[in-house]
Amino acid sequence: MSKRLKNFSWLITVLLLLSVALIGCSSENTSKEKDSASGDTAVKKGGDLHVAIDAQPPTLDPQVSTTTATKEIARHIFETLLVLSPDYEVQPMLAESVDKSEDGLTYTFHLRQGVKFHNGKEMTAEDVVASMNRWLTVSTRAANAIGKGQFTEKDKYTVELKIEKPTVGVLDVIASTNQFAAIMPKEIIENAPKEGVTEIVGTGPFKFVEWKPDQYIQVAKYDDYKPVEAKPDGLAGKKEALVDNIMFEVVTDGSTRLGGITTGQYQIAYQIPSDNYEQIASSSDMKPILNLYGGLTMVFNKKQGPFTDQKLRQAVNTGINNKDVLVGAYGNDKFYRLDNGLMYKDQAKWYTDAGKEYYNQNDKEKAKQLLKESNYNGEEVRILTTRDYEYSYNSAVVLKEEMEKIGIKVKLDVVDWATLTTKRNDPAAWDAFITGFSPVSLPTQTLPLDPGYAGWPVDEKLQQYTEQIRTAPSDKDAYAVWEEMQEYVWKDYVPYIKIGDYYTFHAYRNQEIKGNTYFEGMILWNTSLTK
Amino acid sequence: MKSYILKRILSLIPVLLIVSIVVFMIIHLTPGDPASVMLGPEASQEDVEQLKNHLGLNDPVYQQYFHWVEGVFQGDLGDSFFMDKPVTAAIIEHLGPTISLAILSQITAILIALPLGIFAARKRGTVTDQTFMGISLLGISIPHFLFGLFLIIILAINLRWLPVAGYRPLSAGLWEHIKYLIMPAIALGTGQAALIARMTRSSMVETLNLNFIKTARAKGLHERKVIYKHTLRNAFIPILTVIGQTFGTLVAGAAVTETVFNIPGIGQLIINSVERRDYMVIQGTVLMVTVTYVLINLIVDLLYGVIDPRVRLKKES
Amino acid sequence: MELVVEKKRQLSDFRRDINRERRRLFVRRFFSNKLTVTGSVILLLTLLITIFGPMISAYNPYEMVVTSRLKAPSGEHLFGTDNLGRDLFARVVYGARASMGVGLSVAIITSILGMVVGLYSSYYKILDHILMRICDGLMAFPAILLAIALMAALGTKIENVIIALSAVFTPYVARVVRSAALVVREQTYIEAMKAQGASSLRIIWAHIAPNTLSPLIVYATFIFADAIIIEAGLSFLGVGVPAPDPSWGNILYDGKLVIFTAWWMTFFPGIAIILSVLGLNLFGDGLRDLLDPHTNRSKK
Repeated sequence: MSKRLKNFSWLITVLLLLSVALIGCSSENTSKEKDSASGDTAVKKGGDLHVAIDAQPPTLDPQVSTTTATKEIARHIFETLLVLSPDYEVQPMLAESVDKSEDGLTYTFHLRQGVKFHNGKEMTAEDVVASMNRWLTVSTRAANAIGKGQFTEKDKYTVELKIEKPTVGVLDVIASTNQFAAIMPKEIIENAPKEGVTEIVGTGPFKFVEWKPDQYIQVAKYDDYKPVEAKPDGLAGKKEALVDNIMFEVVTDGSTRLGGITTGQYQIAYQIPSDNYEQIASSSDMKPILNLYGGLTMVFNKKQGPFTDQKLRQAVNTGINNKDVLVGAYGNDKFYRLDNGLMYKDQAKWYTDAGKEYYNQNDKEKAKQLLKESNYNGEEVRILTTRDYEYSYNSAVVLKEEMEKIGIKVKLDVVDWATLTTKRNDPAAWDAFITGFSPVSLPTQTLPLDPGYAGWPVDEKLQQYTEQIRTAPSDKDAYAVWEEMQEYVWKDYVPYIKIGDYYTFHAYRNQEIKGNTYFEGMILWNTSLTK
Repeated sequence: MKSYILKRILSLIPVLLIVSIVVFMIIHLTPGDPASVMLGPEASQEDVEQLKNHLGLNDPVYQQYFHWVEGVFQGDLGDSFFMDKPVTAAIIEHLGPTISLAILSQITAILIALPLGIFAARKRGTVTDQTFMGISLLGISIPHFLFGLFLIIILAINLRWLPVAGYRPLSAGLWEHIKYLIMPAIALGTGQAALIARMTRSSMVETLNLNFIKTARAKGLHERKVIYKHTLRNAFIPILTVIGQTFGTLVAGAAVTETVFNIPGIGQLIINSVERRDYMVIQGTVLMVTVTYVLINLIVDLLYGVIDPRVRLKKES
Repeated sequence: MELVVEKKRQLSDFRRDINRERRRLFVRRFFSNKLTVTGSVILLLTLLITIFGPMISAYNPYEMVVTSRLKAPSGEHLFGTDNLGRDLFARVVYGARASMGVGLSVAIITSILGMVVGLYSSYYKILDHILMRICDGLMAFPAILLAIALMAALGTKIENVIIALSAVFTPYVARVVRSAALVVREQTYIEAMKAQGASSLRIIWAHIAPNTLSPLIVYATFIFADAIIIEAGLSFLGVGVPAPDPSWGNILYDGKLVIFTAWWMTFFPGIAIILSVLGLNLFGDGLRDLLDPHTNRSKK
């Protein structure tokens, strides 16, 4: 007996050592927590901010990519001529002011002087011209909204934009936050390959330091940053880097981000799974930030297959219970909003509820009637969806149930995101797909209404409305047309169904940082560590 | 010996050729492309097409293949579409975490396996032995990633002893580094431990039955000396083989476990690259993994000869 | 003449007795090992649940009750509910069909393919070189990575999971069959048959093949187990059995997202995987000790 024990004694020693080490670790954690609780909350400069971001951006060039990760990081490095305030008003940033000519064909931008790029060079008209003209070619969205346009240099601090016909909302597009019109040095723009610039040099309060793929992206305070003298207001106003570094750590797994923010490894974590909302909200050292992410949408294929039949599309829209779909997709009712505006409620300038009597009808009988009137003959319709975005998949599951209740046979085609983006361009490969659309600054930029976009809403009346909005003499006239157009979309054409608005949430440690705000993405300037 | 090594290395060539063709074929049969992933969900079709042309993705597949192979022979695995750096650099960056994890797992495995295996061998045929065999099978039967999930629930969520997941490089401090790797190392290590322990046991049992051990015992040598000095040494070759093989699997086979613990290693690199359709990285990494895998096996075979001169290197195609 | 017939009869009786005795011994040896018996019992239970489980489940595994999401285990929901308010017990039980079904299909398909490849490459030298290089190539990938890549190419469908896993495992089976066949092939009676002009088809299938069955059956049991593990891994990564069909790995995938709040979504499917794989491994180990003591399982 004792002999056997002896043989095991070293094993026991190892185990003991291991457990001592583990206990050591746990006590270290508790002492850390104590520190944070007792720390005072005065604004402190310096320190590193650790942010867990949910996806690795494909590039940091915001002009090229429409991905959220690119936008979230790039907005700290690059700036635009104009920015949007939280109520979607256009505000100056790198341009001090803008004049619009009588005929609406010429915009003159007066640049702020003394703004320096991170490489030390002063920003002048030639940089702006090079950047803006590249943006007009690489961003289809910009080209769509502005039409044919050209920036030219007038003098060192003045540039001019000439467009072909008067257009509504030119400045809103220049100020928009997705695939934004970042100003970069001319030399870098000229050498930029198609897939994005290779040198990350902007004018923002933070400068790019290092990118370790799949690990982190580091940006550091830019000492020569020259802020505008105005009250900070979302993206607008004075910006100041209050920390030395921001480490954007790429953590693709939701529960890992949650774990990290819970244990204090990060001060901010993006996109926490919605089921954990209560856990964060009820915690004393963490706070959730709810933010409007976009509209959950089912897009129909109007080029090929059963949904070319308008009646069938109407039947689906009439029969489904939008609320059930949203609950299935997002769970907690804090994460969705039943609303039929194709522009969002928060965008006061464009929002309308026109056509709301056709939204969320949940009228199975009427739907069956419409189905009978349609040419649908019992074939299986394929809904394309992905598990890479959990809401897309979850809502598809509920939609399938809802549609089957009306009498439409549904098959889910679950693929990964990369496959979905390719597959949806092939009209023979799908009948409907599910995605989310983030807010755009103009109704004419609404992607699923673009005839070239997957789903192909090629419709004369739709085209007419779009053209009327574009060339409307005033914003007010444009708005009136938009109201009509939205009504038409819900009542008759139904090119897609906006199921509802949805929110996602980020979490931050409220005892450790302050000053962080949110507008179409996190804003981490004017944000400081409190200990 | 030299000609043997040469032959083994030469036999690598057809294997690698097949691997590269298979990978290339799979990749290009896969729907989706890097351009649309890069440009994001709301990019237009024209922009995607333009970028595809620019990246050469619309060239015929065989042309892309030959272009790539040509580069490989010059030691160039191409550039990542996503990371704005050569594939070799990306691999090196992701190799660190994987190797750290593999070493820690292997240490865990050996620490568990050797004593248990030896113990079971000495108790062969008893109830203890059978229990041990049952437990070791349990070790093989639990998928690593599942064990990892269980560890997370217990050690990280309930007890809060360890961070849920993540990775800190060695430069952040040794303890900081190891703290993040403990759970994945246990998850991977126990499965390997079961394999090594079983091999240790059976190899020990076989050696214990050999005549020279019986002689040693008859001469009245101390039991411990018999076990550790004579038996273990002679039983070590098969044990070493298993250790080598399991190490090979750890380098790339830990992909799912790396995902569970969010460790930016080789396995994750491949999974992420498949998701993003980063063709060059997939091709390059798989090639690298294959070479490592085969080389480790070669080294293990060669070590045979060093440890036990009785083993002559012969035949086996 | 009489005597000869009598002798023959005696001989065949004797043979029959021996065979009966052998069988008896086999069964007794099989059941003398407690571990093997445990394995068989677990395996039998798993199979029963797979086949009859849907009858004992009160809930439909697809039915969502959005108001009762993520409920902890209770009398009403034995295993709790999942993130869409579906009964977890029903999902785990129905999931057995996908997981065990994939495992069994893969085991059968790889046995057939592996046997053909293994036998023919043991018999024809040139074929051997070609096929074995291909096998080496495929075996040089870690199994899970090859499976992931194949699934990305084929698309997520349960049939594709079976195809991908069969492609991954066939080389291993082929290797085992080949080495067993090579031993037989070297024996003099095969050479003699060849010299007598027996057709290769006959030699391969009537004389070599039966001798490879023991290691094949043992190995197929392990493939069954490994296929369950890898299917779980694939589905856990979201590239395996497509939802909403439940499979154990699939449920784990959903569970990972809520691991902080709903341990049961990880725990129950996890236990199901462990038990079925353990049952198979114990059973396979027992079989191996009886049929083919020299095969070693290698981990992929």
